[in-house]
Amino acid sequence: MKEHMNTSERLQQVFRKVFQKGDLLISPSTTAKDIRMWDSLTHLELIAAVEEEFGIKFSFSEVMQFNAVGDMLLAISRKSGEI
Amino acid sequence: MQKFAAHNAMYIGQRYYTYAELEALTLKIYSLIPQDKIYDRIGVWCNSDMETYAAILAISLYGAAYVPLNKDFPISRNRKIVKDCGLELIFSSSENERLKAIAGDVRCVLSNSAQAAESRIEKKTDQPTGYILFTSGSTGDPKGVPVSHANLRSFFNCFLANYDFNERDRFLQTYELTFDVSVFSFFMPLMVGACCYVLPAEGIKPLKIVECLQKHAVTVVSMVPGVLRYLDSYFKEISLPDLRYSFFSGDALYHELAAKWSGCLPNGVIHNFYGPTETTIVCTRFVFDPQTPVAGNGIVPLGKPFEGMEFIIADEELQETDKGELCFSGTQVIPEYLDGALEEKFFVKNGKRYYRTGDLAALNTAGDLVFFGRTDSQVKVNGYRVELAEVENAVRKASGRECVVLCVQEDKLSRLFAYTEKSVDAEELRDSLAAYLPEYMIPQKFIAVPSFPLNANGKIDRKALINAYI
Repeated sequence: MKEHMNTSERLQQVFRKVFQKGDLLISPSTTAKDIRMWDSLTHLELIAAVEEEFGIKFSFSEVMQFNAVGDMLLAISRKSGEI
Repeated sequence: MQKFAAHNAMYIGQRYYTYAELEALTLKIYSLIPQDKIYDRIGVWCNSDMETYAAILAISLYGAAYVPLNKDFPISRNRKIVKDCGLELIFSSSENERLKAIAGDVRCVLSNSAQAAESRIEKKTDQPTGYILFTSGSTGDPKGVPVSHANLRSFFNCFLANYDFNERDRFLQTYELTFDVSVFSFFMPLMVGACCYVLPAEGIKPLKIVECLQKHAVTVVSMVPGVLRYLDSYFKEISLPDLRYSFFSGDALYHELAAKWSGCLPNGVIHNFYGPTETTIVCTRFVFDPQTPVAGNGIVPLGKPFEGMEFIIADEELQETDKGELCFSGTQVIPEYLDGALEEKFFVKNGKRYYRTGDLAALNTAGDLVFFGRTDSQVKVNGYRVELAEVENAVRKASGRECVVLCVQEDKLSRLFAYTEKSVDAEELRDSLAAYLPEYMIPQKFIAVPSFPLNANGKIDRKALINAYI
């Protein structure tokens, strides 16, 4: 199943798991303002879950640039060698 | 302010304000205070803008106590604050429905209204209170803590006597204005002609803090230790050569994290402070040295009391003991709670009036106070004081379910978990709880249990709950 999902879909699954909301929908423009429980506590959990899902490790300067889901998608693609 | 007129006083909303501009804005807001009567307490609807900070200054110079109202707090909580303080006037830099909902008949004045500014400020009231903050209450309601001008004088004199802050310093204000350390981060730079940088309200706070420390070459910062837990994976990538003073308070500071943080500060020192709101922001200090051996519990000591403050460590009968409840007397202890509530938190011994902190402490061999936990069910979540009973009451009210709320350490961060006897719809319950509790008090997880484990005394065994269901 997982191998047929693209990066956005896999990221959405991670968000759903971290925020415990099965119907959560994200887009590149989604920010912490749009998801009620997305605060500094869950952000840490989210980063760890994304790193685990994609088998990557973000640097601090990358994490600092994560203002929206789109920034995260871009960093995942870069890390995974997609771009 | 005149001495530093051309210097930058504040940086907020991506622009600088000089001391002359701050003074002009403060005079303008001061002149908006109606002259029909004397207002001893004035509310401030806290937006992250210059008008909000200038309103606090104007109210202080008028001589009234300011009462900050957090726009993210539930309407019911702010209504209670307005009522308990008997507010008749609230300043706000914006008109909005949430303010209207809490204000009722209270007069609201827009701090950015057009008004010719007074040329000078005259103190109109001489009442003793500087500000009133509200902390979580074990009875289920927040309690008002009025801090006097005399308390504040003692607090600031201690910093002026012990630190070389000067007009070249750049302070970072990381706190919400309903959090008492904001009083230090806002007023201290203005007292020495320095610049106060206000952390933007948006974004993930620990990341924004580091970004601001780097971008503005900040020299003095005070923050909650939880920020370090957050940065744990990234210390090796952070360097802050301009930071001279890194202050912590509000929660237990762990030696391991403080030692890693000191590696990011080639020219800075770390000071750990301690003090409940009732003893005026902070009242003990420990100068951290990463080379000193780690204490048994891994927590950096609380240090020694400020000048003018004394403590005893007391047992349940309030007799002095080696390890027990930390109680303070002295110039920073508040005169009383709002309306004289909770008088049982104070007692007189040997002619001195003491405040019972509820914190367990002992002295180490160096004569420094060491923290060992709480005597009650108060916990700290990201630096915020939370009475578990207040959260439990709210969950019961919102769900109709029996509930036990516990503070759980997970991934080095404190989280609130609510255990209920029947399952609940977490999303729905969170929405309901938002009507009663600030966001930081709403449990992160709701766990249904078949029944609550009991201890030998027939009381709910909280430790067993954690062990069984985490």
